[in-house]
Amino acid sequence: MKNADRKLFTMFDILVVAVVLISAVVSFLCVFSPKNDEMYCVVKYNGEVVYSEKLENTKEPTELTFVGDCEVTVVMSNSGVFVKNSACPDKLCEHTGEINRVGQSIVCLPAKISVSLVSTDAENTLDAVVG
Amino acid sequence: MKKVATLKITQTALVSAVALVLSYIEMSLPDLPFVLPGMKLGLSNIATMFALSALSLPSALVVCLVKAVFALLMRGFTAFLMSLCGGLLSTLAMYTLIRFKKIGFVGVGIGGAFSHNLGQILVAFALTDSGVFAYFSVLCIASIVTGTLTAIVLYVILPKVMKLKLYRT
Repeated sequence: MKNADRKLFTMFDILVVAVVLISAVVSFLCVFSPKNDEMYCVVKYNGEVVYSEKLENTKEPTELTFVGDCEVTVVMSNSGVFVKNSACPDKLCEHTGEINRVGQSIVCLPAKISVSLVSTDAENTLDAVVG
Repeated sequence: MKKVATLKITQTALVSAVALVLSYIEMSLPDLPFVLPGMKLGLSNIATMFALSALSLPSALVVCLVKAVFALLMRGFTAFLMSLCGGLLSTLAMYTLIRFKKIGFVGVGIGGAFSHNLGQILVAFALTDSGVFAYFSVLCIASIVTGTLTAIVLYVILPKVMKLKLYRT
């Protein structure tokens, strides 16, 4: 009979408990790890910041049109940012799709407009404002 | 040959009946104030683990299926899926653990409870979204407690039931 000499608790059971505990900790860390909630959407025209807004502030998807060398319509929601419409000929920015992580950016070269996601507020970190 | 088949069917049916009674008792228990909804003792795991220990893997799988159908009748299709996936996963996990002679009852019980939770969380994830994983770490801790309980119960009753020679296979 296969269970005759099975003990209630052995050293190997501690291994099982350890595996369970580790997965508990890992899943806890995965779910509750501090998310990058300080995410700002920065729009630049010709290298100058023309717009900077914390992404979480835009609960409802908002549509903004920026006029660079041509018009670019950007849609921002708290999940991410994408270029909805651009008057430029190549439409590369539209095809980039949605960006939603810090460091990503969309560039519309014909309009000289770039949309990027950064972790700090560009407006507040400017060393000097000229003009 | 035929006699053996009859014996197996009867034994499996008996354990399935016990599993259903345990499921029903568990359903009827009032919700404790400090536990999250859905957190359960896993009493019917005792039956599955017993089927694995005293009978065979096919018997244990049948017990799972019967439990799942019971959940379907009592609580609907979602409960059926949850019960089936959790049950199958935990049965396979316990089957694997039981093969290691050096693992004690507690290890097998916790492994079963843990994989039962894992199966259910995966179904919940498929049905909803990744938010359910917020639940998982709590369920892991709970499975240590419930798995140990299952193991102790089985440790006590298994030798006694074996003495009855009902389950000699």
